[in-house]
Amino acid sequence: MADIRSKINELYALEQLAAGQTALHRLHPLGKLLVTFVYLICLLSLDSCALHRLAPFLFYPILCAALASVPLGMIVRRAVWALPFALLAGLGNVYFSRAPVLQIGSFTVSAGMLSLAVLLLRTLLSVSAVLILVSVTPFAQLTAQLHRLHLPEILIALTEMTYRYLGILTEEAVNLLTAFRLRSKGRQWPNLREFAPLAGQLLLRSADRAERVYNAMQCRCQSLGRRYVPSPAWRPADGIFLILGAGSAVLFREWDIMTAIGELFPW
Amino acid sequence: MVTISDWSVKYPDATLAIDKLSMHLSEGEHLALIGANGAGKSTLIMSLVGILPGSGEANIAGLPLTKENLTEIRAKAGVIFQNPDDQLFMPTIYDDIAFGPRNLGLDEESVRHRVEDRLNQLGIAHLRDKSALKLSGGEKRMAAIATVLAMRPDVMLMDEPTAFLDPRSRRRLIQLLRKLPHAMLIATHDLTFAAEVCPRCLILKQGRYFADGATEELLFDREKMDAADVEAIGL
Repeated sequence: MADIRSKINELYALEQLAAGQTALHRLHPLGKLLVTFVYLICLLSLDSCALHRLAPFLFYPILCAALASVPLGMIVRRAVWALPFALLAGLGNVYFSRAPVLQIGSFTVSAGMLSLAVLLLRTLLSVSAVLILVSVTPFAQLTAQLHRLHLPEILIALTEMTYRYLGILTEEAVNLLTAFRLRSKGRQWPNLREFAPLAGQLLLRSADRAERVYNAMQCRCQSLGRRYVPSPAWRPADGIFLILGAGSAVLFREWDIMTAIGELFPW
Repeated sequence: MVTISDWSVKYPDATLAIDKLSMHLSEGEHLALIGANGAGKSTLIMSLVGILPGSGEANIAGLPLTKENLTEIRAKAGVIFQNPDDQLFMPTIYDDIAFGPRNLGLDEESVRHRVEDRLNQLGIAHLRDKSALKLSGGEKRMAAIATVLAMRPDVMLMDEPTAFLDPRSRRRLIQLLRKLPHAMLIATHDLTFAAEVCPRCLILKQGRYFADGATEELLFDREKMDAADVEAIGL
């Protein structure tokens, strides 16, 4: 069971990293939020078959992870969790778009395959960018910044609660699974018939637990519309980060740098 | 500090969990709330800070318990939950202790002072940047108490504070609570703990008042405790 226990600890490991003191950690949350937003917009608005256009977008997560001393492997391992969803969404393309676009030896790559590859890489990069943001900015600072941007309070509260609920859900799942394994003659996972009541129990228990956590928050004066909002100073470094980060994302979006490099070095 | 009169709490399924209870907790007094499982101890505590709705009259830290006064009452009456895991939900212990003062609108410097003071007072300064996930039961309990003390409450409401504690941690908790000057209402099954910390106790049975008096007499009274479905000390 130690493996699952360690997963719980890992769940909030990124948040622990956010307490770091590198230059990237010290930047204003607004700057980091805006750069991530512009990066996502530029990345997601690229042509769905332009695989080569994604290459320059690799730099941002790699560079940020290096500057913030965040293990890139940790970011990628978490980002990979989102890939099955992207895979499900993109599989239809492989079936419907069969026109050949590329030949690699005897293997023909269809438009659908290419768009699936673009979708997977784009998902990986988008989730990585968000995870980098979370690992260099304390969650409380992020939500306080969203509050300053006048996002609806209920939306921010839901974001916070969902984030906390994930940990609670995992903890309850571990407890249930431990109890199951102790009485299941060496079987590690429940079969389909056992799964339904276990899932129901998990939902009820975690909802109950989430309510107790929410009560504890209320007891310490947490309420909607009443939020501590620190206002860190905006420094020149924040402006430089914003211009460089958002500017490079827009540049890579508007200018096909990979084709330009290919034309410069035709061999 | 806490006065309730004809206080009742009804669950949504119409179960009457507390039935016309009256009690008074004076300034600086430590009062143990004793009763069998389901007697209504936790329900009473949650209702005194408006988490569960009650009817009747209640006055907490000089304020009538009304919807308008809830925020102020919750700042003055700190609740220690039975399971400290429910109370520690921030990434670090520092942030957990700072959570309440920040919600009170204090500036970050004042918050830092309050957090450092509480960490030092409880001897848990080494836990400052740790996650609650990595603490022992005793450390979690101390951290949970620190989160409440950082609010500078007038009264502390505790639900089974010795739950999850080993004997040494329990002893540390007893020594700490005996030193704290706050008024305390402590719901507990741990009668020897109650006898050491609280000079007076109130016994509930099925949501109703059953008896109250000096702990050193009442908790050793086998006949009365049997009638309350609680095991007396010394048996």
